[in-house]
Amino acid sequence: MVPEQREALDEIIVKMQAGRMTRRTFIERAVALGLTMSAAGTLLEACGSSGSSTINITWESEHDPSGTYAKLVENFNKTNKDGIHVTYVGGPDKTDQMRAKFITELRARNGSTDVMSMDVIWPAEWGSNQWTVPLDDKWPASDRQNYLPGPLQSCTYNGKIWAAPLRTDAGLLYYRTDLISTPPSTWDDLTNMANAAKSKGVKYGYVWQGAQYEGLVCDFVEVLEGYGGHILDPNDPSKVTVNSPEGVAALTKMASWVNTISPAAVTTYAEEDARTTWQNGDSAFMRNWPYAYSLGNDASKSKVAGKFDIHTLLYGGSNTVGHSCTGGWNLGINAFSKNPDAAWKFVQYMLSPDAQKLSAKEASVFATLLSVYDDPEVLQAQPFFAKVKPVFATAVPRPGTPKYPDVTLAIQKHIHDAITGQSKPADALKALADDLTSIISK
Amino acid sequence: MATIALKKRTPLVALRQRLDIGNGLMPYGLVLPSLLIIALIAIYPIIDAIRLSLLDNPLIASGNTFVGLRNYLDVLGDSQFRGSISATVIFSVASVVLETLFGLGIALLINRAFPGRGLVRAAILVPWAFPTVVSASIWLLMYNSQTGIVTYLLQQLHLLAPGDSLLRTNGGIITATIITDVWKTTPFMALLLLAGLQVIPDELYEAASVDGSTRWQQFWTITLPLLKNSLLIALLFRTLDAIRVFDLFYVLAGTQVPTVSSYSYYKMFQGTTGDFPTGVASAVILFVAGMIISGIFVLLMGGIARQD
Repeated sequence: MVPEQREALDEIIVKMQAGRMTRRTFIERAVALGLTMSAAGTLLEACGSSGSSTINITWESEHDPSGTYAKLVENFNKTNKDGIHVTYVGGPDKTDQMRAKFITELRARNGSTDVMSMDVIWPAEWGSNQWTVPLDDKWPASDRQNYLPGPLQSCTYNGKIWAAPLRTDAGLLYYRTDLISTPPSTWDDLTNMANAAKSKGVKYGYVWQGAQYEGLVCDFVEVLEGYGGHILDPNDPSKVTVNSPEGVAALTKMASWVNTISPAAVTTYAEEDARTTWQNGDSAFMRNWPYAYSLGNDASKSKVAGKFDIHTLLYGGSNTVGHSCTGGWNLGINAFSKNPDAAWKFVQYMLSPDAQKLSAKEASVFATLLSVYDDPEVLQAQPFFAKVKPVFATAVPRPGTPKYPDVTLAIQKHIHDAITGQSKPADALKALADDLTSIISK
Repeated sequence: MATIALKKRTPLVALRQRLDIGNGLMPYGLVLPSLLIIALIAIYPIIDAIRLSLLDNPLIASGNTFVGLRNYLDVLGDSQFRGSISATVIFSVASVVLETLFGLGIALLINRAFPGRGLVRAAILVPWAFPTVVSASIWLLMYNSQTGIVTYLLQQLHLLAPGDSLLRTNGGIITATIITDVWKTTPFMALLLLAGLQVIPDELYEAASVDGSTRWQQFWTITLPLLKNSLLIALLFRTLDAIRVFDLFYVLAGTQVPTVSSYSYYKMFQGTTGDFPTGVASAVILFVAGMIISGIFVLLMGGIARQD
């Protein structure tokens, strides 16, 4: 039997055992795979008729090139004692496509995807639409304390928890240790050092994410918070505070980088464009997510392997603390799911020390479970975790509002206008504040 | 050639006469199934979309109230929508004009007999055979600011500064989409025009040559007038296709430069619940614009038919 046949046979056996296939389909497929009718019949009997007692649920995750999620689901299916079978579906690598697909299902009150991976910025919108099951009653507060507060906060809207934090992420400043002896602490330092490095022959000083998309919002939030400004008032998210002296200083700084220390085309850069430039050794600094760390140290693909380090993001103006913007993913239970309790059991498994540790060790995913960061096994596999832990302590989320999809488009547009020189920073912020006020009051 | 056609036609005429049962209901009965299918899959969705565009917001429980043209006023008042109209119009006019010119040139070339003509005709269709979203992604790589060949060439020609990219400005993005669309759709134009060229009888050119006309005169007085119908049909197809452009801009421009189609998409499927009715209204506006354009072309073609 060739491996493909074997695989196909395994698949139908699993599906049959899970009750996801009719007996007739099973026989048809088995015969198509080259089994005789009587052999297929015997195999079918061997599968047993456990179909009726199995609860089937589906999880669609964010894009996972490492294959860790599929492995975790397999573990869960093998070990759980409740007769729950999870079907794993890998989602698209474009987050907005995934959201479009999910909200089309949710608007149609479709419960076929029981557990949905949710980007860190979705819970407010989904909670206000009651698209997910609130977890307050299921998840005891005593257990919640064991998880990072930032990601947990991002799952909370209107006093309720609408999703469980699966993994977190935070922006980092990468710098070249062969060009920069002591890392900068303010955005002004960075500008000066980048200029100096450029005159020493590096092609660019600083690369970041300037294209008109979600990444620009993260980069802007980081500079803005570094200057002590906020997009919305943290205590009252209905107040727009972006058009402040801090805001103008932050945006003026960002606009001044374009075509000086940063290439003109930085306003078309996403994460991967910045990383390509960086790994070619063409930049002294880079802002990126932690995933670029292990990739940058792969000597077969990177010219800067072993020649860089990471630092927390910087501050400016009268402020003295830098802030990273949080990313990450949460697990939400579809409000229209027929099996919310089975779905919660699976979510609990994904939050468990076993699962969190495995994804940290194997895929360098930043766990939300605090104990993972002090786990010797994890630290041995990912020494880099110790360096990143302090970054999470000061990390800030993007504005949490149910209108986020419109809020982010407005931020992207006006900030992009300012950094491409189509409008002055002060004018762009005024226009942005007007747009945000009308979006939020709508 | 002519005799074969005649022989074939005779039994066909006889068949038609046998089937002809006068003005009874039979013909209507025969087309009824097709009409029902068209009503179900085309007319019903159109009417339903128009109905949805007049409601408050079908996605919320209390939103099924009639609000008249409010959604249309909202969408026309949105500066982003007006921007999407101008992007769509600039793209459509520029790409259709360029494709027609290049398509006509290619059609004239491959209309003449030369060795390997069949191969060239087939090869020229290759760009058109790609799904647009695939060719757009390929071109996106070529426009990439660091690794793209187009960027490299433009920088070598000093049309772009080092470290710059064509996709940096809105104008550059529209230029990039026009280049990609011309590359992709010129073959389609060439094919339609080639079909038109092939039915022009050679005798006309022979007679004109005998009368001592130049090639240029032949083009203006024989080719172009006889090609007019094919040209109008090709223009109709291309214009309708161009104004509803989605995939090219979705890949190359994201939300930075939306067209009317991608604006509708973002509002309906990526915006908040409150954005949905504006998206529906803009989609209906695009549909009406398409109907108007078809109407104009149908009138033009009708005029030609009467002249004939």
